[in-house]
Amino acid sequence: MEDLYSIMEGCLINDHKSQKKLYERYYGYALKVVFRYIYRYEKATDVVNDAFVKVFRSFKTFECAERENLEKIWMGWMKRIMINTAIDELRRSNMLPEIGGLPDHVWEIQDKSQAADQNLLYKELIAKVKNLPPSYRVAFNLYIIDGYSHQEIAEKLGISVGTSKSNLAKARMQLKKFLDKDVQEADICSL
Amino acid sequence: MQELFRRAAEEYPLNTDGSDWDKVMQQLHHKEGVSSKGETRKKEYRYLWLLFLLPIGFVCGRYVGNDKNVALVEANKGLSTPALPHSGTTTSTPGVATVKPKANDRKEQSVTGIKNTVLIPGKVASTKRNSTTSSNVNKLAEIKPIGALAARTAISDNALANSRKKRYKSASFNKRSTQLAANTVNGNEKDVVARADGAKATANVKESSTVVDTSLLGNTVEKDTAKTAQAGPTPAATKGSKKLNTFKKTFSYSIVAGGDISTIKYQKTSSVGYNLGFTLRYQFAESISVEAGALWARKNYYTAGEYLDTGFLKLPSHSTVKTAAGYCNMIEIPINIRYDFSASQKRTWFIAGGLSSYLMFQEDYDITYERYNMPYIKNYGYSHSTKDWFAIMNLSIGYQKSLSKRTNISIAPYVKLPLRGIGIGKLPISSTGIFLSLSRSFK
Repeated sequence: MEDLYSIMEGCLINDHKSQKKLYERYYGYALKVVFRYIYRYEKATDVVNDAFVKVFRSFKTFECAERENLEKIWMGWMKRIMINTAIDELRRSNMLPEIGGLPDHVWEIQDKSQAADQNLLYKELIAKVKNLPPSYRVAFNLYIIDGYSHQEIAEKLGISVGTSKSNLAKARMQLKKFLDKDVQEADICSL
Repeated sequence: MQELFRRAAEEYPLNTDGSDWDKVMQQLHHKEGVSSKGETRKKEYRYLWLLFLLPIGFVCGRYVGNDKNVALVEANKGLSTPALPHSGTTTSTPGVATVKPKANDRKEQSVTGIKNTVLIPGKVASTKRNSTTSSNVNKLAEIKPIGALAARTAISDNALANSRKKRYKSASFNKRSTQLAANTVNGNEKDVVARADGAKATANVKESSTVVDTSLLGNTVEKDTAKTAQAGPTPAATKGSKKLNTFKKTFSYSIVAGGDISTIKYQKTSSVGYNLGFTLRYQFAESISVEAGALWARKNYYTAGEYLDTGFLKLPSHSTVKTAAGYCNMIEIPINIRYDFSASQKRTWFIAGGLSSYLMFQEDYDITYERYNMPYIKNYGYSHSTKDWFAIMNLSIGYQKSLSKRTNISIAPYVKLPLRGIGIGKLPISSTGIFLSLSRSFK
């Protein structure tokens, strides 16, 4: 596999081959980030593509002095762009909740390995997060998963810190309910 | 719970096969296209100011470049015109001595200088303008030597004229005519013919016979010469000026070398760089030529961090660039217009101006930066980083000396001023130095 540094050098001079390599290498990661925020899979892929365009357009602003941590820093930088693009998209739709379930094809086909159960759990958890109302979902994703502070969330979403905290608390409560419900169902099944 | 969700976010099984690079590419191109279109348009407009140079070129070509021709025509007019006051002097006006040659024409000056030597006695003659009266018969004796002097002057003048170029012939012709006319009016025609017995002098008299005849017919020389003057230059003079007008367009090539001192915003300079290359010059007007070429150049420079575009450095956040010292190797493509403001067969003074493009081959920077008050030094090297088209304005003044008919050597101090940032660091590099060139024109 080609060295990330050399790919990035190519991207710096707008070499399309390098850009393609970078896109293909990090598309999955980017989609996983965006899909947590955007409910619809198709919309999420569009957002990812938009975000990559932003990435390539602003590639020269990417800074990394430590080459050994290049990928980590790069992924962090790219993730921020993905999140911002996803939030912009949610804002455009006025944070309206979307109805309808998630089709099966959006999930990766599971093999029968040991990690299958774990993956199933993860899938369920993310599905629960996605089922949250958009404002709760964003607060939860930003604070719990992506590590933003309430201050940052408030600035990003244009809300007060109190609202951010409130949204997060409500998101947690709903998820806990789901989880408790699941646990109860699991207990019943195990009896 | 938080940790569980974090892990779930990282590892949840999502179908990620739907990547569509073409879509991204399309969007990327669309945005690039829109922006680059705007940039291109801006670039196009940026060079519109060059149109202002067109009238200058036209003016130079129309007037400045033809200065010599204009001067020659005026000189020729002047050379025929003096016949008017001279003849007038000899006939009626004593003010001949006050007639001065035009200071701006050396050729005319030399000719009129000779005239003055003639006209000093002529002035004496003019004091005896009523020489035909009987009371002044004795004074004719005084005039005889004057006539002799005039004749001698005519001979020496003729010899001088022979030694000069053909273009001066018309001038001496007119002058001799004037002298003879003056002598004739004074009634000394025969003396003149007798004393100017030599073949050359006789020829002169024959040449001026028309004028002499006219004067004999009724002392109307003044009117005739005035008419001549009004009619413009004599045919001989016109012929002479036509010969000088023959300008041949030439094409020449030069080998150019020189030192180069570069500075950024007039900060301290680094070590001396160099230029080496060739130029081609096409002289399409008498004093104006256009030259272009290619030079391999190395520039060394130093700058404070504020003038360096740090976008390319990829320094960690909270870093402040303090200084940058570096060099670049490049191909410089200059396109200049040259104007020869003083030219002779042996030497030429010229000024040249134009634009240069820098095609960067190699750039090397030693960057000193600070991060949390800790100094760091980092080296950056780039190859083929930028192409800065028409980013530099050239100005130079030079001296060219002819080594042979087709070979010249020249020296030209120059200044190169940046119109925008150059290289990957977008540095406003100004340069100065001296070009030495050896040029040879094609046949």
